[in-house]
Parts: sequence; structure tokens; C-alpha cells
Amino acid sequence: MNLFLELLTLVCTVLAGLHAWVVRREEGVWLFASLLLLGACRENWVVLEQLLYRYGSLHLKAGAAPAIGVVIWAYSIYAAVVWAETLGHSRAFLALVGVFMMALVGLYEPFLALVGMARWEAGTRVTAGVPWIALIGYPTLAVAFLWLFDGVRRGLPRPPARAAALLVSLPVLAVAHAYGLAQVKRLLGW
Amino acid sequence: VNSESRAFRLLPLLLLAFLVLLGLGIEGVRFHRLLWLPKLPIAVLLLLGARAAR
Repeated sequence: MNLFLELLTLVCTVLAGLHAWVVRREEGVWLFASLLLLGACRENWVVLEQLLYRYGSLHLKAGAAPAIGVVIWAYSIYAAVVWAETLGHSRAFLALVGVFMMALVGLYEPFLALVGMARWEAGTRVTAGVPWIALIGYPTLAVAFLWLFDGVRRGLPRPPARAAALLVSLPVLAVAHAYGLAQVKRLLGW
Repeated sequence: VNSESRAFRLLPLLLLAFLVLLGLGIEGVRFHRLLWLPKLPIAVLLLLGARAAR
């Protein structure tokens, strides 16, 4: 069943990427490619450094990390962006994205634990299958990414400079977020 | 905006709604257990999104 879920997630991500390209054209490609880079850096770092959680037996890999872990960030943050835009409150855009990401924790985490695709480290505080720390991790990564992406987009409109800035800053954000979240989890005892 | 393009604009959210239902289906059939409570927030937000898109 894991392979079915992995393939399904990949299909959903491809469709979301297609959506980004059709609806937003060049900007959508920048956004989705940046999200994929963020996910690849973040999940490979989590696996290599053994931070926060462990993956179960999964078939499709993207480097050291399972492909599903890499692409799920892109799909989820993009869905949060679409949802926040649909509601149309531009001033509260980042807050809405954060709220949506927190709600996604309740969809993903209990299910992943139940089917054995991912498990948080021993001692993680959980209520109704929802790890408390994930309620911080999901929204903070999404909001930090969008803040960074928008800053680069506005500050460096020319493609070469923009690509260089994203190639440098996104891995830094991914690693800093994984380490930072692990530290916050330890400090809070969650 | 006609209904087809509106549906396409909401495609990522429609896929997510499908995943919520699929998750409930798998839990019920394979594990005889429904983790519906943690899915409630995302279900509510998706419904709000659908309402706003009308």
C-alpha cells in the first residue's frame, strides 16, 4: 500500500505543478521549482542527520530521502497558497497559509503513523495522533519560504541572479528550519 | 470565469479533498479505525475555500 500512496502523492504533485504553470505561467514554474528544491534539501537533511522523525519502508527515493517526503512540501505549501488566494484576504495571506498548514498536520501525521510511513522520535508529545511540534514546523517552514521567495522575486527580477539567490538561500532555510525545529522541540520538551 | 476554469483553479484543493476521503477509506477498510477528528480542521478549511470560490 505504501507504493500506491507514494505514486498517488507524486501524481498529485505533478498535477499541482501543472496547475502552477498553467495558472501562473513563468512565476508558477519559479514557485514550484523552488518548493521542490526546498523539500529536497529539507528532507535529505532530516534523513542524513537523523533529526525529528524516521521514515518507514518506502520504495521511491530522491537522494537519501523518500520521494514522498521531498514532494509533499511542494504540494502542501502550493495548496495552502491556492487556498489563501481563494479566500482573498491579501493582508492576512501569510497567516492564512500558516493556518492551512497547521490543519494539514491533522490530515497527514496520524495517517502516516498508522500506515507506518513515518514515525516521530521516541518521546514526541502527541495528541490524537498529532505531534505538537508539527503544529509549529509546518506553518513556519511555509511562511518562511514564502517570505524568502517573495523577497528574492522582488529584489532580483532577472533570472540568473534570482536562480543564484534561490539556490543559495533555500538550502540554508531548509537546514536551518530542520535544526531550529529540533532545538525548539528539545527546549520545549515536546 | 466559467465552471470548468473555476474547477481547474481549485484543482490542488480538490485533490486534497480527495486525499481526505481516501485516507478515511483506507483507515476504515484496512485498520477498522477512523481518525476523523484530526481531519476535521482541514475539512472545514476546504469547505470555506469552496464557499469562497462560489
